[in-house]
Amino acid sequence: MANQYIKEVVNQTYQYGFVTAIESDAIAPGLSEEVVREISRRKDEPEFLLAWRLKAYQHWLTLSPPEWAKVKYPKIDYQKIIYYSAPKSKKDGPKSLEDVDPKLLETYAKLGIPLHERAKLAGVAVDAVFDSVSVATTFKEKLSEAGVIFCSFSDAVKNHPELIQKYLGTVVPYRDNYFAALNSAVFSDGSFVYIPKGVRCPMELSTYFRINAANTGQFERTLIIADDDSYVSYLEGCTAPMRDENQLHAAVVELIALEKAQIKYSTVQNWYPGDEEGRGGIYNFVTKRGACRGKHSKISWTQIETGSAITWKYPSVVLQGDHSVGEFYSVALTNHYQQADTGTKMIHIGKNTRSTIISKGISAGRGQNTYRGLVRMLPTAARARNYTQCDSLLLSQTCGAHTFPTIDVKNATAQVEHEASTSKIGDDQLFYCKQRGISAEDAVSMIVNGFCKQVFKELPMEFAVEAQKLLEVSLEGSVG
Amino acid sequence: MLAIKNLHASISQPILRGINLTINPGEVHAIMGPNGSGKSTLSNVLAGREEYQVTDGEVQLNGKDLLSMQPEERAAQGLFLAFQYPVEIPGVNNMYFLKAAVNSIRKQRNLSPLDAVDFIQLIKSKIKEIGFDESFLHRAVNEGFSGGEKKRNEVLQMMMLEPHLAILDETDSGLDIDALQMVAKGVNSLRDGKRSFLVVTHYQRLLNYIVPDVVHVMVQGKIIKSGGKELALELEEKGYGWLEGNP
Amino acid sequence: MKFSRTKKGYRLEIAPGSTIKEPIHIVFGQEDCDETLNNTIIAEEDSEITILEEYTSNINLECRTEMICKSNAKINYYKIQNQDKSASHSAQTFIKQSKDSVVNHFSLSLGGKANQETISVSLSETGSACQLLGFYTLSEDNQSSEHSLKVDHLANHSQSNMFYKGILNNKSKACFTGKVYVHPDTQKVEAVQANHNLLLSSNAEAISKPELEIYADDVKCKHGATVGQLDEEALFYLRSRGIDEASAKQFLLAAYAEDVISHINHAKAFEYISNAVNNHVKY
Repeated sequence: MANQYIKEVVNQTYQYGFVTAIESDAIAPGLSEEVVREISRRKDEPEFLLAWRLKAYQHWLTLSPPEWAKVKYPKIDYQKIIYYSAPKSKKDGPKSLEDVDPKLLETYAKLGIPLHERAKLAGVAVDAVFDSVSVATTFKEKLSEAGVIFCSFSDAVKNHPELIQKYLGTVVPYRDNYFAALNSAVFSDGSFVYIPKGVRCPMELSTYFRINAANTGQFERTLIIADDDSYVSYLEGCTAPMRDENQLHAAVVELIALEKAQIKYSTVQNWYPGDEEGRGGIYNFVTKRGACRGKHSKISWTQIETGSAITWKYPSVVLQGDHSVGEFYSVALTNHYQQADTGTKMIHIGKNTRSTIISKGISAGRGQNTYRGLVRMLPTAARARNYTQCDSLLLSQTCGAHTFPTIDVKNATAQVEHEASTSKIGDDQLFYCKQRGISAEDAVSMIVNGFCKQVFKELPMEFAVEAQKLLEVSLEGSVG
Repeated sequence: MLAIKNLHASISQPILRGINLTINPGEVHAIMGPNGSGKSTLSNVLAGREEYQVTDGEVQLNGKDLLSMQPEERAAQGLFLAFQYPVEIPGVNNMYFLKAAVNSIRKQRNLSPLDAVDFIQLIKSKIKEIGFDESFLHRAVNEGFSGGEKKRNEVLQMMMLEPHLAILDETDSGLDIDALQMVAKGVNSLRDGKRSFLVVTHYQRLLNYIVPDVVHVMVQGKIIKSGGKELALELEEKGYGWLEGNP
Repeated sequence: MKFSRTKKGYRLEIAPGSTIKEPIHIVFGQEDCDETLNNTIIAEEDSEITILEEYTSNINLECRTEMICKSNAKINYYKIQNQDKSASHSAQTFIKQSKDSVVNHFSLSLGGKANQETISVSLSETGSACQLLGFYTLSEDNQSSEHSLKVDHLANHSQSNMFYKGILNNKSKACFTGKVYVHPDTQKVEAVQANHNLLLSSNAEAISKPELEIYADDVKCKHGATVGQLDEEALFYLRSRGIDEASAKQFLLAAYAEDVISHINHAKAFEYISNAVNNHVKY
């Protein structure tokens, strides 16, 4: 098993290591039916997948980009994007740590990331790989013992086409929205997880352990299926921030929880936010949705969003199974010229379904932070419950904090409660901390962390510590 | 320890109109006065609250110019203010807060930070003295505390930070007799012949438990009379009226 | 005070410094109005006025009301929409407030087939404050109401309070949209928004959208919204004290309405509206 895996890794490196291979493995910029066919052909995909991609493409042509979100950006020229190139070779990356943006390294140092991991995160082409191979191998063995499938999306298409055909697009159909349609047509790779019946996944799954996963490109797709009575906790975004210069990220994540299954999905997103003047940065336009299909199933989203120039994402839960539970815990921070329009949708269909939404928005600099949410109780959702709390913390006179919830109830036994508040750090709170000897900067980060506590406590332990540090780093310079 | 000379301060209008006060090491001074006399303003000005403007005068703490320092520097120099209205900080737990404060002050004094084990041992011994149980450590700073709990928390912080000069701003207000005794016990445990106290209060009651060396009476932003602890009893009996007409 | 009224609406001007304590009762019945109404209320500096406006007509109505509330003036405006169940009511209200002025706006919707109400308030000078209260009850199939409220905070120290509640029965539908907009460089603003709905039937639908848009930092805003049903616990408690179920429900519904109505601080207006609600809210 171990040998097999090392071979795979070596082969991959070899395959993508050819300089010429990179040139020949990319498709010229632009999007057409031919490009979609070409992507599918190069990936050697089964017929059903090509047919699905083409339908998605045809549908995308009929759509225009959404304009309802509270974000502003120049029009994207979709004909200028390269839709397929083989996963970026390590040769494309910086040759050594000296080639890496010192600011980025400084951030890593502040986050306390070990040196060899810093190189890996920055995409340095060093042989650090071997360090992680051993880790990855023991990891793979443990998972396969449990019967868990955790692989790249492409591998899943090859090895488990029946699961892909059964579940792909059933939570986020290609018709869902502009970016989901685009992703469905051109997605290059992503992650796939299947937890069999009755299995509690023996460890937190993280893309960190999957070689190459960090470079799956702009249009990735994740599909997680938790079969009856199973449990999985999935961590996205590695255990540390990644820097990526790609302009547009249009990913799709689909979660499916069958009877009594539980999926916990945590994200720490720290894509490049652009500079202090608002130049550059990632457009993070992501569609994430989970379906609680089975009775007593549970899906929980936790997100810490501190990066990207623009964030447009609404991790949602469709509560179909009776007694199913949906949760959304979010911290979104916007500093400088960052814009975030994020929130969730909880669609209650089954009886006795419950959902909880806790959203914490922090606006600093000229950041614009919007919570947008929908809680819908359908006529079938007898005795369903929702509780929503969304709070905004304002750290500058030039920032913006906006709250746009929608509550739609069509069942007389359902109950929905929504509370929101907007406030700034009180002068009296600051003075109190200072009188106890704590500096203004430390006091602010302490108060901000306190503000986010309800969300941090939902994160796995190591993640929570990191998230706190990340907030401190992201807020640097925003305290007067 | 503390030397205040001709201190004037205002917040949109003059409140302190020439305060002179010297506190020697180990002394306990009480400032009494009617509502609106400027007692709390004095406490806040000494601690460095930014809304107040010092328009004249000077203050030295252990020979250093207090007024030019930031609030956190004053804290590092050993000045502690027990707030009249302790502030709630949601989500920040007491232990974390106190550890940050203790280590921040230690850092400013060039001392190495206390590690988690030493800190926990220290705080556990102190919370017993002040009558809290251990669950207190995991509650958020002052959030949802009763009036008495807040004041006891102030005294606990004082015990942890071991200041040179502690100012108690109406720490007795809103306390029942048990809480009052608990607070006084905490304060008295810190009286060691070197540490000084400035006790600001409206009522004489607290001074039965924390016996002052000197009592000052403050009216309209000035100290109009000073005396021994008997003065407090006299005030209790006669009120402030007999002094006010006669500054 | 100057008051003129035609079938096309009324115009009311309150002289500077004058206070009119007695509510001015204006009724738009079947005979009294056209389909389109234009009303104007101007409260000059330091004046105070109380208006009780009532709509009982059975034709479709469209009315546009403009209120100007000058420095230190106060307008108490109470509106009762009790039109025939076949008629629709569509109202647009624009309120402009100057320094330290106060507007208390109360909207009671009892009748009508389709009720649409849009209120737009500009708090354009320091210290201006408005209170927008509302209570709606929908009991017929296909009866609907739509309340869209917007408050623009354009000046420091301005305050707003939106508080709307509704009871929905049968196949009715209510939509509430409240927006608080705090403009850049506007500080020390306080805004509160609340919308609560009681569903008595599973065919009814309540949509609530309380929105905050804030471009300043020294503000205190909060909002809350709920959709729920009668408190079973409370119902049981009342019944265990010997009150029959129907009366107990009636009792709780009245209390639900009372929560908003009790904010009306003009005694006569309170009494009048209280009676109107109690006669109308039936389980």
